[in-house]
Amino acid sequence: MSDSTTVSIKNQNKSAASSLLKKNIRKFMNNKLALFGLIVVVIMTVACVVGMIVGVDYNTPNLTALKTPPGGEHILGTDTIGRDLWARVLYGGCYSIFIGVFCAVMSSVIGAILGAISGYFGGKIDQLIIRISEIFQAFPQLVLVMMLVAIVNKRGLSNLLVIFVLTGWMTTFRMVRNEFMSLKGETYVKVCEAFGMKKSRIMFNQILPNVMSPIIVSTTTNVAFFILQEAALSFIGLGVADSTPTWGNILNAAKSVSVVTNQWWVWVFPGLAISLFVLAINFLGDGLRDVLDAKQQ
Amino acid sequence: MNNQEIILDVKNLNTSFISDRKQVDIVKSVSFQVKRGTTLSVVGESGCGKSVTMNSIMRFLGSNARVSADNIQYNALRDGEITEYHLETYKKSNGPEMRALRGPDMSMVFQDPMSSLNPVYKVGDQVAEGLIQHTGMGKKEAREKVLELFRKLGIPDPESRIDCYPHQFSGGMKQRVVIAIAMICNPELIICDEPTTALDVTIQAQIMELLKDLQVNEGKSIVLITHNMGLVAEMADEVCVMYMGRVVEFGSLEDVFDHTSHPYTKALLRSVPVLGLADGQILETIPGITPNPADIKGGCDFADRCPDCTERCRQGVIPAFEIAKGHRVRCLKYDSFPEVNG
Amino acid sequence: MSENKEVIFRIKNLKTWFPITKGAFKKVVGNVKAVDGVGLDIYKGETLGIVGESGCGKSTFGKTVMMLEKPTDGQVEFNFGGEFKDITKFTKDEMFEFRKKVQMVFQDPYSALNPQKKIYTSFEEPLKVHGVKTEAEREKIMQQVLKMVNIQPDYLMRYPHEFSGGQRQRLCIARALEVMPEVLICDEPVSALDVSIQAQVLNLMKYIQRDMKLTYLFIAHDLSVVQYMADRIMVMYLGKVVEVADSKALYEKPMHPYTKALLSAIPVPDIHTTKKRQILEGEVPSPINKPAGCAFHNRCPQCMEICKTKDPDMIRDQGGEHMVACHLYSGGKDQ
Repeated sequence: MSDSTTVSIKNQNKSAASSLLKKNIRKFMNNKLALFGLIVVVIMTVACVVGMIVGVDYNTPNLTALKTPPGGEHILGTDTIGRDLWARVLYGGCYSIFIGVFCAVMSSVIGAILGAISGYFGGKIDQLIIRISEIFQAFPQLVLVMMLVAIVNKRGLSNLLVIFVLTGWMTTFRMVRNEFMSLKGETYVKVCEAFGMKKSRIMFNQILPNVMSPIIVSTTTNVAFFILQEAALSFIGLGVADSTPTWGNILNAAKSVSVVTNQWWVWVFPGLAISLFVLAINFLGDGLRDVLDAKQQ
Repeated sequence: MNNQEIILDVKNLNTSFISDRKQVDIVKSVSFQVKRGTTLSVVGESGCGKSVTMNSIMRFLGSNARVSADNIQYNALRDGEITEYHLETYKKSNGPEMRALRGPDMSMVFQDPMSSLNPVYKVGDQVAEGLIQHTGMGKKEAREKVLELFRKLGIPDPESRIDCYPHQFSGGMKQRVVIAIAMICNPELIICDEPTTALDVTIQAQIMELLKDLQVNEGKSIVLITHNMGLVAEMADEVCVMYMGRVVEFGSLEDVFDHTSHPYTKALLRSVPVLGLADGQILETIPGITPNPADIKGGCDFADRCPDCTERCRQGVIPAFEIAKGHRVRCLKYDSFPEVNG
Repeated sequence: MSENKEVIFRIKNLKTWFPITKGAFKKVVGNVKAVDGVGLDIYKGETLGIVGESGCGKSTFGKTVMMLEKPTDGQVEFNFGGEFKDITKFTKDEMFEFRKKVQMVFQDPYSALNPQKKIYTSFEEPLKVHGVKTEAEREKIMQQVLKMVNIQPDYLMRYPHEFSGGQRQRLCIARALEVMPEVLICDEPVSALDVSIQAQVLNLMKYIQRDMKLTYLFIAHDLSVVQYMADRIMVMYLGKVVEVADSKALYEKPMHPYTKALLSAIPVPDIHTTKKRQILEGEVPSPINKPAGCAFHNRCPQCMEICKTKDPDMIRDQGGEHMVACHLYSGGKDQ
């Protein structure tokens, strides 16, 4: 008997159950630019991943075809030592996107947790974390990377990841902290306190879902930011080791003036890939902001 | 009635908003008149369109609003002469014609005194600004005028208060400053949008006394938007009851309170707790909830909550009937009376 | 009310001050005396109305009694099945038990439900926390409380934004009732609602009180609403109690000049009353620098010399039921 009533609320009313998600998806679909961004991001990511799984040959130089322009056997041509550019862009995309996504997600996680603690508890803990974040913010990223490269004496992917995460969490932290400070005054938080709920439960179960939308938006735009950072660092030779192709590393090969003027395809295609991906990510982020921002609803 | 007597004549005002590519009608064929030197109270619950009506007249609405009307006529009385303004003909909501009227002729007092004042300017400057804008008066002269007005509005120690910033004022004093801004160009018509909702009762009493005083002694015409039936009873000469964007009852104070006719007005008056209710007396409630303006069906908007609802109430547009001179009710119970536009 | 009334809350000299700090070293430069020495007994099953203007400390008082604010001084003793315990000294576990006995309904129904969560989740959480293990049991309780506030159970799967203000407030009341409290503190429960909805909620609260034999602390700024709901009314001004009386007595025979002014300031929706308005001069002083003596003396129409220097004590009148803190009456029996 009691079992039949159990089902009644949760399951029988699935039809009546409405969903914020559906509404948001509809809203997102109406935003053409964001949809375009999403499609581009998905296509590029899928292409890169498929390329990696299939195992395109990005590393064996074709000595008979150095610096061939696009077309024919090599659709995007080959670079200065005869490696297939199409394969390199695909393969490099995997690394670049991975770096962007990983760093963005990790720094958001760190920023969100610290921001939640700082904003919810306030007082001395808040002051301490704020000071720490200020110290991190005071270091220029480039110098830090150079320092770490010098210390570890090795260029590599892990260096970059550590540095990016360490120097990237502050913006998310500030945002989450401010959101928490205002949201902890909301009545529903008071209600939970009146029911005697644990503080951690209130923080992560009640308040955090309300901060999720700005976090998601900033994570998306951070992906683009980190990809650009990686490209810049790799271009000046401080990024990932040369053996691993990333979009920035491929560009690195195009540093000399003769390549820039004579072999345009060597830098145009990776450059295009970066620009297109970053642009698409930013469109996507803007679209998400419009959809998720409760204040605009 | 002639133009001498009526200061604002609104006929068939419609306002709708475009939201999510859908048109939502908020104000539907609203007609009313404000008599010169009297107070008209517009009552209704939140979302009934009372503020939107006034904002439509003053053209304070955003770009997603569509306003249309047969007639919005403002009759200015200057040196015994009447000048007619037809507000519905003005194309731009913030054009020069409209701006010239706002301030010297008609002005508005908003609900929340806390956000009506700019925190970074001294209150005196904020009040004087309208005067300098509209009359080109010098700063010194304007300051004198402001001081005079502050004294009249009962702001204590005006000489020093004029140079204070809004945060140094309490809520009641801020609302006086907001009224001063509305009053500084000596308008004939003051529209007060819930002027005391954000204030305490004892302060509300002070502000209401002040408004009454302005109306009686200075001959101002006041439109008071409120949801408080008590304030209506104290302040109004005429009452306009709105529900879901329509005027459901319009008449003099006596008409509306002593010969309450529309079921909604009746219910509204009986559901408010008043002091000195007998022990064990239970308030009457209006069943149901206020419908969403986006999904309005045909017929009377109040039908679902009305105790006297019949089948006829659910079809078509319900017209208004004049059950006594100047007393219009939008209810089919009174269909033996002549139908009027309103 | 019955003759031998059982006390549920015994509040003694309760003070809640918020320190104002300045500078890098957080030096305390003053205190906002939100609640400044309130002492009162609250009886089981009654509705105690608390009125006052904004900033008089009525909300803080409610929150302090619930221990959502920490009191600076004083005691709040709660009747745990006949045994009085001081809740200001509770341990975490004891406080958890106390949370089941006393619940609160807040002013703003629009922010009282987490906008990101389905109503179902918001209703489930408190029950989970308070050890209702199985889903079946939880849903049984949910259905019970929803029935009390006349909301269909299938609405639970919706989000808060799909409800009107009145429905939300009813949901909030239902949620507070889930843990079967003895006391419900209602902080301005209807002031955010439309007039036509107010009456629904007020009547509903009356029915619930009768059904569940609840004790209400009904906090509101609107004296007419409080008078409709309450058996006894406590009038507060600047953190202090100025008058406590039976609801009817307060209306018919107000004693404190502030109560009189408050009563007269309320607009009456009746065009035939020939009430003479008594309009108070000035504004409520800031609770940081309260005037010396009686806090009301600078607005009081009957201010005397003694009022400016000496804070009046609570005087009991008429068998101790009607209490007033005013020098006008201290000519009678002191204490």
